[in-house]
Amino acid sequence: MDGTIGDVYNKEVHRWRTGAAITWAVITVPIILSVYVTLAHLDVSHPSQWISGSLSLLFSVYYLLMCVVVIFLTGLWGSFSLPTFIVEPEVYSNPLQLTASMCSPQKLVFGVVCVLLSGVTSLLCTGILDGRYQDLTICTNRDFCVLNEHHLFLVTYGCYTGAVFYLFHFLRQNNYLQFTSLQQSKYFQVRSGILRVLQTSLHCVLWQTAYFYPLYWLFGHIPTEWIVHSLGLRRSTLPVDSVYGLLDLALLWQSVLCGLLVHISWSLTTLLIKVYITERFCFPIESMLDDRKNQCLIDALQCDQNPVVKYLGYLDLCLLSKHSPERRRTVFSLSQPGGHPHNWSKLSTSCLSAITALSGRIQDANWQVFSQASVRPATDDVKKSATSHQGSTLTYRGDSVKKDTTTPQPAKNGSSFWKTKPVISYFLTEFPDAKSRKLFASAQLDIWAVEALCNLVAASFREDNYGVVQKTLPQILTSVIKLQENVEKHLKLVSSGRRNGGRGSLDLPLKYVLHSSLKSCIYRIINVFGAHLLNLDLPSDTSYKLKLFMDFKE
Amino acid sequence: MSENSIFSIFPPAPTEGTITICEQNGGLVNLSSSSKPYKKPPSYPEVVISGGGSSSLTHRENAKSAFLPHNETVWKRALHAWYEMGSPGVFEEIVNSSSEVPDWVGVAAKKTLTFVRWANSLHGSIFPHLSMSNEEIITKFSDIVNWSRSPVKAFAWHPHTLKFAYALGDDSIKVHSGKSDLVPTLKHKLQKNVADLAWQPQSASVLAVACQSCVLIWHVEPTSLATRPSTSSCQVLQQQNHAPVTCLAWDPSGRILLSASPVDTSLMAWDVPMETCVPLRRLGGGGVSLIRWSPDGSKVFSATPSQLFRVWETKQWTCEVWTKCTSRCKAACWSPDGRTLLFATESEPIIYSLTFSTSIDDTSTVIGGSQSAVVSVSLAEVDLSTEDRDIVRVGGLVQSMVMDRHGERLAVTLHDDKEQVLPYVALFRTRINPMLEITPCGLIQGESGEYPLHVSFQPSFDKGALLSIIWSSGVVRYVPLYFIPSEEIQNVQHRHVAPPSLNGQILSPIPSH
Repeated sequence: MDGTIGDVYNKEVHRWRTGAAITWAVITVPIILSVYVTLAHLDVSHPSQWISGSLSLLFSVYYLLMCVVVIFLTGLWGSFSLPTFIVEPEVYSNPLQLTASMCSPQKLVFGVVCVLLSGVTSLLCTGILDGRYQDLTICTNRDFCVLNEHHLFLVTYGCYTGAVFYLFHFLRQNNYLQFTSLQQSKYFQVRSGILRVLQTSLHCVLWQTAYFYPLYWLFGHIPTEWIVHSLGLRRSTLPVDSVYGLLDLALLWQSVLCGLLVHISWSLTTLLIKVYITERFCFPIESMLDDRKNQCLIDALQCDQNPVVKYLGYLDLCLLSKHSPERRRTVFSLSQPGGHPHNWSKLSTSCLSAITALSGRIQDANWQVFSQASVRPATDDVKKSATSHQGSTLTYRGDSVKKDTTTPQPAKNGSSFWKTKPVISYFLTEFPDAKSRKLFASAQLDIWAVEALCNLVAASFREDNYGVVQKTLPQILTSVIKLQENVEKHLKLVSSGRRNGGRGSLDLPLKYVLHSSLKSCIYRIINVFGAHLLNLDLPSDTSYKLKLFMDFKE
Repeated sequence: MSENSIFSIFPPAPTEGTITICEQNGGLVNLSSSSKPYKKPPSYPEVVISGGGSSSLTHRENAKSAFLPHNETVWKRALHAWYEMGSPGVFEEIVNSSSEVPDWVGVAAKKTLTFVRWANSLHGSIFPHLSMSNEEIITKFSDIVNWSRSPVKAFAWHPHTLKFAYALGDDSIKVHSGKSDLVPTLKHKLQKNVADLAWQPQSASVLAVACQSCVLIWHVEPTSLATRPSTSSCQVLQQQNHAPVTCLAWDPSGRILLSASPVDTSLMAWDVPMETCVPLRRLGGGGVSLIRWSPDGSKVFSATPSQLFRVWETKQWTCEVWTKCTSRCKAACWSPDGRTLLFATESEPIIYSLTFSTSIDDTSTVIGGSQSAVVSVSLAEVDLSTEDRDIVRVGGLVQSMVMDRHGERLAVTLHDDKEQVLPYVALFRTRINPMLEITPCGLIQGESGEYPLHVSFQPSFDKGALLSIIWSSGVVRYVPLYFIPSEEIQNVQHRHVAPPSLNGQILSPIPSH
């Protein structure tokens, strides 16, 4: 087998995982659907009739058929949603970029699929309800038929639900695969996630319904008139897109239920897919088989074509460094013949290069902030632009200072000209945390890299029989301490307080996680090696910093 | 029973009027307290925790009534409680001031409160602790003796350096580091009814505080000169229905913080920098009253308010359950290698031990606990003669117990059936290899009339172990126990026997004969 690790992973693992996730999602459909049917026929005044009626409905042919179709639809939605899941968050610097990305072809196709599938699901739902919603037309006699506007309302609502789900999928980062900090089994992960799914679904549905009603009141006549016109129907005496027509509790109940059905079944699919994809995968550290030579952990770490494999590789490395002495022994072992620590040097090089790259990026960003920060102008400048520099001080506050200095200057190039126009300026104003988020978008990898390195170094104190780690130890310490310094500087420069609280993007805390895990990793090495570390040949600034850490002053 | 009590083979109790200074040459040294013999070890701060414990609760009530106008009705207070703590707070406020409301409202509120707490924690039967107020719950489950009237509410040593924090009756926390005179005081408006403190391992400055409604994470900068660190350096970790938090435990690698509440069946595993949590929920037990993370990081012990406790492994977070205890598990500690768990129940004067097999296998998640716990030591009450031939009664139920980081000493505080705390700390020698062995060492005594509130070992003392005891008078005394850990002795012998030939063998603790 010659395929790269990305291909092989897709073929041998990814397909099975996503297949299993979608299968489980599909299995839950009959349960959700039966709850839906029972609630849709809710009749408080005649409870016995209601129960017997819904029981008989649950064993009817139509229900079984509907089940099969909804199962098919859910499976279809699951497979269409697979390419939308990402491990690295997408960060947009301004609303314009965000809009452009939402209109990119792949996402639009997925959006259309969402709208269609949700519409079909609601169409099926109307079929199982009683006569009031069942058909598009109501024919009273042979001469003319009347449009059933309740039916139309529900189907339109279904399509709208799909659109809202599509928007939330990307805007609320529901497509972002977050790896959990505890490696619980999949069953417990799903179990503790279900309650959240139900809560957020209910929340979303209530939110979207509150917006749907005014929208339908304003624009409801467009689809109605169109259908009436093209099918040659008549409108009913009480149009639903009027205020009185919308004041219909039964209709509200049915639409909320229909929205919940779509939201819950799809969110559950999302949850299952997330849990299955982010499950730990054990890559072999070395392989004796020739056709598996390029399927090892180190290949996963360097797999750029498939980020999921790269992430799983780093996760596996981090977990093995923590929990498995057996596999650590392989990492510390020497090659036979030759006696070279190939495994260790490959793994440590790849981790170190990731760390150094991030360190460099953060340092550049810090310098950029420094250079943009305004300094007190020279004396002759003060007279010329005394008013324009009022807002600038000597404190470095990143973006805000930049705005102070750039806005007063006359607009010359295109972008700054557009920035002055009212509506367009909204689309061009930068999101406040975009730069920082972009910088730390892949920080999860670096967190694992740092933790893996430090755990391996700490374990090497007792387990490294040949001293393979000792040679790289100064380099590891230098780069980890360097990264720690850069991150700390960045946090001080860019963010004023520790947290701004409230709900933000899911990836926003990554920089804090990186900061805290860098610190604990340095302390871990210090606590294991103690004063021995001072015998290492370290650059003076690193050993100075290390001294501070050894005195627990950081 | 009392014939088997370990106290019958104890060395004589210290004479009345003497005070235990240290352990030296295998015995405890007691000196007359009138000669002012007590000298604290150098570089350790001298601390006397003041503030009458009993006044603290009334103090809180007074402060409240001073700030709120008296004409404020119970309903308005209930509204405030709703803003602060949600619907359980309303019912609690009504229950607390049941004299101001009609009888049926008070009764209904009490019942609803019981029901709400019962319903919030998914379990089968109504447990009595669910209808208690927050303070009663903390008093019952805290390991501080008599929590509600004690001057100190919680105490924690920093795991790596000479630094400790303690909470006072007015809900403030003081942090002492080394001999430094600078003692930062931590205050936060959510910091009420502090029940536990825990320093983050592998860090210098992060302190987790278990409060009535949340877990607070303080970043106490060691280089900062501020005596009142700003509350902006504080993270608030809040989760619905997870209050009051009474116990905290950090992962020894400092990555995960566990928090437990006796009214919530789930254990919360916090990713602190992310500010997210994963609930670890299993049916049965009615809450989590005590958590202890094993020092090697591989297992977590969690006790419930009923006769049931669990041990979790930390790779995949599966758990094993032990049922059929005679009563609630009250105190527990791990041996340093995470292979032995010592625990004591609320109703028996016995220390049980439970052994676990170690697995090197990466993929298996077997906890490997033995089927049933073994009685290690009986602590039944016996008469013990003192050094000058008086008779004192020693023994009783375990209040709390701690083991030092080498696994060589075990300190236990005891109380009798009437919740009267024994004025001694019982000290035992322990061996954990090849199997658990507990032998008597002696009784530690304070000044006359003092009884121990809290005992703990300083985790970074390098000449044996250092026991810190908070006495009921508010004095913190350090009792250094000088000994050489057997592990080090073995290593020394080993070095003499076989000169090192390979890098790895020097560090191997197993002697090669």
